[in-house]
Amino acid sequence: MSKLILTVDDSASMRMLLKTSLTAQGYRIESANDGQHGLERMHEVKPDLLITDINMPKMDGFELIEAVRAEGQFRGTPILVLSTEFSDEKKQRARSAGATGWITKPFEATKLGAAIRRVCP
Amino acid sequence: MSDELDEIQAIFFEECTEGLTTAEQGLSAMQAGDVSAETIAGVFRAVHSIKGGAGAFGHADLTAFAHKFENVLDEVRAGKIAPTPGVVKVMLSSFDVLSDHVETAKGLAPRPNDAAALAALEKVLADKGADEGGAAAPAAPVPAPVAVAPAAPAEDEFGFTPVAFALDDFDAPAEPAASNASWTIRFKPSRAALANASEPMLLIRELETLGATIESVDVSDVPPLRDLDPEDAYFTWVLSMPGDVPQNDINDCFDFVAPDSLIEVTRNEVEAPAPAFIPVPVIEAAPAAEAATEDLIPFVPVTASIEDLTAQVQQVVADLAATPMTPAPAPVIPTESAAPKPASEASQTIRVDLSKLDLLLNLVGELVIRNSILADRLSPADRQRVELPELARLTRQIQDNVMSLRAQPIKQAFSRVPRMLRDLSVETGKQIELETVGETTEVDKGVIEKIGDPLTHMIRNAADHGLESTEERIAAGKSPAGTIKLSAEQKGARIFVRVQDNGRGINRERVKAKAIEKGIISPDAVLSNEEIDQLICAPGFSTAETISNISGRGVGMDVVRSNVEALGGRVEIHSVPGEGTTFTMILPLTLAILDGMIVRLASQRFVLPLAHVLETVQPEPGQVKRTSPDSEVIDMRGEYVPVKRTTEIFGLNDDRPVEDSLVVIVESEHGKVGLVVDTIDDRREVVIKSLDQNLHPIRGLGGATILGDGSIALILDIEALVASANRYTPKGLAA
Amino acid sequence: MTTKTETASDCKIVTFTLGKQTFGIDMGALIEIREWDEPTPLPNVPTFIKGVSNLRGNVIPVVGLAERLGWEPSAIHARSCILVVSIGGKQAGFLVDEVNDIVGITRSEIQPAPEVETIESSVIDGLVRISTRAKDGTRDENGTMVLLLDLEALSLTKHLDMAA
Repeated sequence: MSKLILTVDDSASMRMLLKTSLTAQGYRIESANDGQHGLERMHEVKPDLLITDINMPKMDGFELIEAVRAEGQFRGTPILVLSTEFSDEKKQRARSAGATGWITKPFEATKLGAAIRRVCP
Repeated sequence: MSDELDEIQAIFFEECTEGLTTAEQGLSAMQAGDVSAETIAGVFRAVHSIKGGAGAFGHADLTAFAHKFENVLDEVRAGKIAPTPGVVKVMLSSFDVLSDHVETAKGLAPRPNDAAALAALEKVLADKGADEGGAAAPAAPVPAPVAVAPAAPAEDEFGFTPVAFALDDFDAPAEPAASNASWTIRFKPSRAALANASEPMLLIRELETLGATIESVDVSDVPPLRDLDPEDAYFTWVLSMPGDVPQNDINDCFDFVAPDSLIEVTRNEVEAPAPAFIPVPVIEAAPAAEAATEDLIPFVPVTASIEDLTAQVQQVVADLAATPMTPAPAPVIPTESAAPKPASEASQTIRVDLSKLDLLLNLVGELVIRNSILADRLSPADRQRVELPELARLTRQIQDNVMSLRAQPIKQAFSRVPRMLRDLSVETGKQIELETVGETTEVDKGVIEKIGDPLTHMIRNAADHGLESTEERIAAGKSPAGTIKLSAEQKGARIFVRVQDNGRGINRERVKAKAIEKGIISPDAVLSNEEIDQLICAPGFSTAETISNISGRGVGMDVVRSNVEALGGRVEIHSVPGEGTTFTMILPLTLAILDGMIVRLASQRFVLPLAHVLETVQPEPGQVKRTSPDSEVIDMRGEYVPVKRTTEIFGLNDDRPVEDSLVVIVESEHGKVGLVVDTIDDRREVVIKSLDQNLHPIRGLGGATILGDGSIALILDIEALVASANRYTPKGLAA
Repeated sequence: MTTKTETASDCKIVTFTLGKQTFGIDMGALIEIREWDEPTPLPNVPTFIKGVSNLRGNVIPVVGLAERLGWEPSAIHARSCILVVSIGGKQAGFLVDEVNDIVGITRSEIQPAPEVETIESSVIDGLVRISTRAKDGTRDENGTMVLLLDLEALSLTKHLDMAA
């Protein structure tokens, strides 16, 4: 059974791009359009990997990651941040929140694939 | 770009539009003084999203500009730059340029000249640095505007300066000397990394795919069993990696976990003799981070994978075509008849093709008609049976819901106005402030589409002719800035859209003179103030003076009026000299279906919009009185309501004495009128067919409808009837 | 004299009679020929607009063509018809006395519009001679002069289009 990835991004076009790219690489995809929604979906679908944007309304990526990590059942779930930002500050913040890795947008399919393989068996 | 990606890009462009609207609103709010964190964050997010997507679809100029803009916004958001009026002004101009870049990306406009805007943004950033004492340290590394916002430099994390070798170096036929170089990697993950669900073995496996071999595992740090913490890491892996692997690939692997972990990457050079045939390595000058970052994109894998990706995308397209692209939402049709929330606020939305909606609307219209015909065919007794009222109720519910699907906040029609006013302000040299009220008022999408041009023209009029120059205003004791107030309000079955200015008002002398000059009225005509104001809308009145360069055509108020009338509406003008002018467009709430009363006049059938009907009365002898050769009134419980025989309007033969007729009292904004009709057929819902489709708007009519038997019934425009009747309201009444 | 029907044509016209004159319009604009049906009268319109009629669910204006040309109104009789045409995307019906024929002509045969006193010159596009068949099947060698109507000029909304 192929791995299930939950993607969280407030941009529909970005969600679609991710879906296209990841489905082509053999993953199954679920998506959510903001942090709040993402947290709900985590419970509903229990993905093998969470990929989230940072800048989103209602609950941003950092808050989402912190909320996810606070739950025992998700402690071992790898989390990748997908963002146009790349400052050390932000990456450190992500690390403290509990992110496993970081991919910078715009992404290339291969780099995305490699980043996923690095965190998700 | 493949079809698939085209579709996704189309959605991205829609998101850009939404984002630009949000950003503009936020910036306008900031200009008005609202600099709350929420407002600023909203603007930042909007521009950030546009930048992100633009990069993904390869729009270099847009990405670059958005990136600069975003930098400023980020600083403001972080409190490092104060949102002073000057800064907000720069942001507003930048916003305009950003919009232009989006248009270019869509292929709709040539590339804007953003040099001035970029410079202004730079200055804002630089000034912030000056404020901090000269050590300007931008929060995020600002790359030079390159095609793609490059991936981050990773060297920092290891504290190594990049050893930038051009990859060409190692393409030379296997030189034994070159292949002796290698990397040694020591890697010990940290507790923190493990806590973040990091799997060291996955990283190692990736290194192995790049060619690494595990040389040894150092277990000297493993404590006795009883002290072992399962959540900590004690192993240190030592790997060797062929020297031809770019360091960046290795860096990428460890990128995120590096700060928490122990990672050492050392290069082992093998002393090589210097034979003449060894190619001199070409060292790419990499002084700046920028150059190095570009190297992070390895070229070989990219080429192979793009073709691969294309092939796979093509394969997936078929699947995707069958499945919905967006998650299935909560049902779009609300079960209560509450108006649906605007798309930006609803938690789940679905994008629907407007043509599908129109088709649905047509079908519902047919359903409504068939319902009526069915009711017609049944005997009165049968009509009471439970099935028919139920059917009617269900049809009505479907109709309401479908109509509401087309209803959108009028905000969309107002969206171009702020930018228009900024341009006008510059053009005319006048200070113009905009007030908007009632943007959430919902109207039919068709209305939104068609009022755009009339609105543009009226606003331009207000700015050009209505408002005085700053000097004139000050001399007149007014505030230096003129205000244009744009408002939308729903009252009953009508929408009122007003453009109001606090300028000089209509110069009636000049208007009258111009109208005489153009032969629209005769020199000795006596006109009321309202009638003179309406002359502005007379065909032939507008001249070269009013040709706007926004539309580039000779759009006069007469075309505005006929556009509005084509929608079944009307234009009213109210002006007070020295104080200002208000143009009001009165439009029907829904375009297509009308609750009507079918009446018969001189054997022709007409439709009265039920929303305007107050009551019907069979006049008693003497109840209708003649007050002048031209006018009659009817005594309604002491109130004298003017009576209109539709013969006057339609030139039909009507010899019936009024006592044999019925009088239907109808009401509009401006008063009441009693319409004399022969009989009332029934009440029915009719589908409005616009006369504009094949003919043109006709004063006094709000369209036509096709009745069940195929005949045509004209729909009366109550506003027009009332307006014409009330022009002759008697001043007094002889007892 | 060769008859027109023998040469290749590049254009088809519908010919009809109005008063004593034969007119023709481009076949491509013709949507339908309908029997005369009293239209629903409209207020506030010129007298040559007789009203509106229902054409398959569409409300279309009906024009008394004779009046539009400035003549006495046509008398309605058994063979009166409405020619439903499309002008610039809008449909309208024109009342005529009798529809005659569909004839192929070549554009090269069209002569410039003559000055006809009783007809507004802008509505005439040109003049062409065609041969006609009489009811008994015989051919009239001299043929008939057909005035070609310019439908654009007859548009009911052209004053609005120009303002746009």
